[in-house]
Amino acid sequence: MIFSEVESILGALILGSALLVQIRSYIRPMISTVVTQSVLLAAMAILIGVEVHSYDLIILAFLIVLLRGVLINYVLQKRLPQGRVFVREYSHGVPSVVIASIIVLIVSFLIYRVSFYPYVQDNLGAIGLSVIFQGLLLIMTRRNSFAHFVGYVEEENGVIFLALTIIPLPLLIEISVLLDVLALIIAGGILVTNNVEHTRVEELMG
Amino acid sequence: MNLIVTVIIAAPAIFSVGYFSRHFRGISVTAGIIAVFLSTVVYLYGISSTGIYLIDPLTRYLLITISSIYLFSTVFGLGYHHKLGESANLRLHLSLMDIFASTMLFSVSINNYGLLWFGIESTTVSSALLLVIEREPLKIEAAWRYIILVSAGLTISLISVIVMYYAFHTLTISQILAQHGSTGILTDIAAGSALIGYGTKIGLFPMHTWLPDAHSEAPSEISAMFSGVLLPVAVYALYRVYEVTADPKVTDLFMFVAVLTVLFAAFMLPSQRFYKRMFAYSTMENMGIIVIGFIIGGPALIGAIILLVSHAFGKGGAFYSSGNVLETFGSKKISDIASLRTRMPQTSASLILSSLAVTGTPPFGTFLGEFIILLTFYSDGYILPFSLVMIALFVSFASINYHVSRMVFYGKDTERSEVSVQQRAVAILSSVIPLIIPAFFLVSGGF
Repeated sequence: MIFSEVESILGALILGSALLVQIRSYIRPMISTVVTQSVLLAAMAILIGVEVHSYDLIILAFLIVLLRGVLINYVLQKRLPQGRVFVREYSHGVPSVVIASIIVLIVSFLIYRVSFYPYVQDNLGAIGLSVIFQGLLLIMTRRNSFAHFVGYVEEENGVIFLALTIIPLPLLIEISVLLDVLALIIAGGILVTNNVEHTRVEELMG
Repeated sequence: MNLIVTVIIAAPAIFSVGYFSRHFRGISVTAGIIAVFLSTVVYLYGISSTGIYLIDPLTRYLLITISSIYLFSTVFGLGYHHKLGESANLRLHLSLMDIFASTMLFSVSINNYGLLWFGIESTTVSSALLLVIEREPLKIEAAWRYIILVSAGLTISLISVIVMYYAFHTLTISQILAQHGSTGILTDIAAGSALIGYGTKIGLFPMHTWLPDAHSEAPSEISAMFSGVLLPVAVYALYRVYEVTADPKVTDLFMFVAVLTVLFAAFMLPSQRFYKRMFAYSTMENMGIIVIGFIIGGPALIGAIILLVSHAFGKGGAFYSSGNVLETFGSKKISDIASLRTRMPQTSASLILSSLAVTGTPPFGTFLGEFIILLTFYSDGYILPFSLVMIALFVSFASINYHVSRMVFYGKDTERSEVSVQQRAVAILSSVIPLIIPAFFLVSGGF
């Protein structure tokens, strides 16, 4: 009972962090929020690991903290343009993004209800699906490279949350996914130049 | 058996350490030769496996195709990037190509849905940096779009892995397929999320937006690897998930997306201003038809494999030829290219041959593959989609061959300016292979 309640609280905090990222304009707090989200996810993995007596989940939690809480955070912070302490993405569509986030939230809950719920009989996984869609929304609505990174990490966090609440994947697969994300962030980090805003390019149209 | 497949997968990855050697060129080519040789052994001896690796006829064709295009691209790239000399950029480029090939070979061999996803995602990581051998802003933008859009899409297909594991309590592909069991809506969810995820990698409409950008901005040998083998590897992953489902609604959904892709690509072709971008849309169209073939199954599956193999070489030839044209003219604009027939006679021959190949002209293998797929499509009663695909094929045939003919025959400049022999040889060889494939399939009986 107590496990279930703490898991629900952690789920709510993870969802809250996903919504908070949507309205962030400054990049550093955006990265900090997704790092916090990863740490909360690790706490969730430990909790479920203790509940079902799975060492794999505890190892997974440790890896999430190491790879997403420390390494990815380090790579992203290091790639932020030097000398620009307050890197900000100018956005004029905050009210629209808030409305879009709420719509995405409702739609993802509905999708979960009709697809997964009849089999799983547990509502918590809806948060995972919602975080996945919030990550995708962030990638679609922002033009800043770092916001794209954050959206991607958030999406991956959502998938791990979904797996934790439905059926934890074998550790080998989870480790592969975590390492893949790290490799992708490093490869993407190399592509980040001083110009972190993405605009329309004539040669890449049509 | 497992040892041979392990060597095929590992050889390119191990040889990527050639980065540290003075003989990095020879090392990369050797890795390609080893992969081609061992893939041919696997094919000729009909090696099968359902252990760590899943080796069946489809896999055998993919292994040999991936290895061959990898070898062709390595040889072509050495000529194409000759200006880079011994630079670290070229060494890194070749090493990443080796790793990229290794991840593709791993993806089509591994007998586990989770590791298959890992393999496909690894192809993205290893190939993204291949776009930016020269750090031009346009190439960086294209690489960025590729890495972010494809990875974000592929994450959705990870849901299909979770659902499969929940439904079958195993991720071993052969075990799940042996159960012959669709579990209703659960396998439908798996198929749906795989369609979005792997569909992004394949370039299915409307998740295709990265594809024309990446193909047009990548160095030509990488465009050839993308079009020829990377996208078919993603089609393979999608097919493996689709195989588990038995719901006609899923078939209809896949069919709808594939037909829409073919139509969209075909109607984008007439207005193309850049030749590499034009071939990228042609790839989208061919992938749509290949997906249709895989979905219908039966004879169409054989047609899809013939089309897949023929398209890989044909499109390889088209991109290698495009690279030769780009090196000489320094422009990707169709309107800037003229007199190819007299200025670059061999490249113009490979360009025409490959254009005819990728548009399904007889007697190329692509024609045979498309013919079998469309015949099965029609026989199975898909009259409206069949008609739409036929219209799309006509539009794409006319558009591509018109644009290419204009580049080759228009203009009266007679000054010769051909590229290196190895670049021309690879382009011609790759364009000619689709002519041999129908005869090969007829003689060998397909499988």
